[in-house]
Amino acid sequence: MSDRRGELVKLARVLDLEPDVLAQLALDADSLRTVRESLSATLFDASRPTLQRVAKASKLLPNGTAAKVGEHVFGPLLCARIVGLLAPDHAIDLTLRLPDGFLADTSVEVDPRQAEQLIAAMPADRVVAIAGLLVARGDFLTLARFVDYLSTDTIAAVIASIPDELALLHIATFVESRARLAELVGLIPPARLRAMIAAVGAAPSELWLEALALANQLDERWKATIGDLAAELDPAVLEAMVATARKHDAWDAVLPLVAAMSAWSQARFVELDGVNDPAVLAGLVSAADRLAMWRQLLPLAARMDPPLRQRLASVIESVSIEAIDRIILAAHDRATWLGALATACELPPSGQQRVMQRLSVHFEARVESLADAAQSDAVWRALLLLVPYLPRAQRDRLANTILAASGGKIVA
Amino acid sequence: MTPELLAETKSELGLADATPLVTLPTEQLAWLRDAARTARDREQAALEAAVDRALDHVPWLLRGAVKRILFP
Repeated sequence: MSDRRGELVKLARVLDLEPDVLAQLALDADSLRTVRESLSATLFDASRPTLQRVAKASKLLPNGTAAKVGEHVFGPLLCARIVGLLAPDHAIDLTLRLPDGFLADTSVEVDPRQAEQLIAAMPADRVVAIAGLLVARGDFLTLARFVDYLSTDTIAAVIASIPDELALLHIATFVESRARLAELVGLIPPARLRAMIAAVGAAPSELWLEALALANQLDERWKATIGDLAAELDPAVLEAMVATARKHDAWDAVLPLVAAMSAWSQARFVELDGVNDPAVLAGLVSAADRLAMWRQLLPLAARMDPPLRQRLASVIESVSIEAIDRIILAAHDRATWLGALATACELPPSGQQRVMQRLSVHFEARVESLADAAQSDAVWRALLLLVPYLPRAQRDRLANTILAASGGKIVA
Repeated sequence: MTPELLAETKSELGLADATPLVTLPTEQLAWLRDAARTARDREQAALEAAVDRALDHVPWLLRGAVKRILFP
C-alpha cells in the first residue's frame, strides 16, 4: 500500500468515514499524516475534561463493575479515550477483565501513545488473541499501530500465530517506524519471508506494489535479502514484479531493489523475458537518471547479453547530453565502466561519437578510473572500439595512464 | 480560498500552522473543516450520552459520590 493510501485510511478512521470519500483530497502523505495527528489530538482534548471526570469516578467503583460499565455503556471509542487517563495498574486490571472482542474494538480507537504502559504490560496470549480477531477482520492498520509499543517477544508470538504471509505483508506496510519495521521483518523466519514473496508474485499486481513500497522503507541489507529471495524463486515471481512496475510505472521502487541484489540475482533479473521490453528498459533508464542511480544500473548493463544490451543502447541513444554526462560521471570501477562502454559499443557510430565527445569533455576527471578499469580485458576490448573518437592528445594520455596503471605491462 | 476559511479549517483540525492545507481547493478545505467539526460533535454527543447512561449501572450506594464527580 502506498504511503498516501495508508494515510488516507488512517485519516478516514479518525473522521469515521470511508477512505474512498477522502481520495480526492489534494494532500500528500506527509500532509495527511500531519492533519490526522493534529485532529486526533484535538478530538481528544475536546473531550478531556469530561473523560478525566469519568476516569476519576471509575476509581470509586469495584473494578468488575467499572469494566462492565466500560463495555456496556461507554463502548470502545470512549474507553479508548479514557484508558490513557487511568493509572497504568488500574488500566491493566480493567483491561484484563474485558473480553477479547471488546478489546479488539477498543484497539481500533485507542491512541497507542496514550496507552504505552498498558500495551507493554499486556500478556502475549491476550495480544495474540486480539491480533487474531483483527487479522480475521482484515484490520491490519490497527495491528500495525501497536507494533512500536509491543515487546519483541510478543510481536514474534503474534507473527507465529498468523498463518497468512500476505496478512503479515499488509500489517508491515502500515508500520510507521522504519527501525521497528526492519526489526519486524527480521522476526519473520526466512522460509515465511520466501513464502510471502512467492504469494506476492502469484497475487494481483497491486500486491507487488505494496511489497515494493515496503522494501523501499527498509535498509540496503533488507532490500538485498528480499530481492535475492525473489530471484531464487520461480522466474514468474520477478516477471510479475516487472509487469507490475510496467503497468504502474513503478521503476523508482524496482530499481533500488534490483540494485541491492547479489550479482547472481541481477543476472537472473536481466534474463527475464519482461526485461527485453523496450518500455521496461526505458523505465529503468529513466529511474536511474531521476534517482541518480546510474552507478547501480551500469553493472546491470554489464551483465546483459549483447542483444539485450543493444536494446538498452537504443533507449540510451535518445537520452539528453546531460544524462550522458551523468552516466560518464557515474562510471567509477570496472563493473560500471564495462556497463557504460559495452552499452556505448552497441550504439550506431553517431551515438558512439556523441558518448566519446562527452567523455572527452570530462576526460581529466575520468582518465584515472578509466585507465584502472581498462586493466580488465572486457573493458579494454570495449575501449578499443571507442577510443578512436577521442582527440589524439587524450588517446595518448589515456594509453600512458593505462600503461602506468598496469605497471608497464601492455594489456593483451 | 479565503483566509477566513483557511483559518477556520486550521483551527478545527488543531493545526499549529496552515502549511499542509494551502494546496487544497476551496471546496475541499470547506469539506475538511465540516468533517472535522462533525467528528468532534459526534464524539462529544456520544460521551455525554454515555455519562448519563453510566449512572444507571453504578451501585445505588455509590451513585451520589459518582454523580458529584461527573457533574461538579
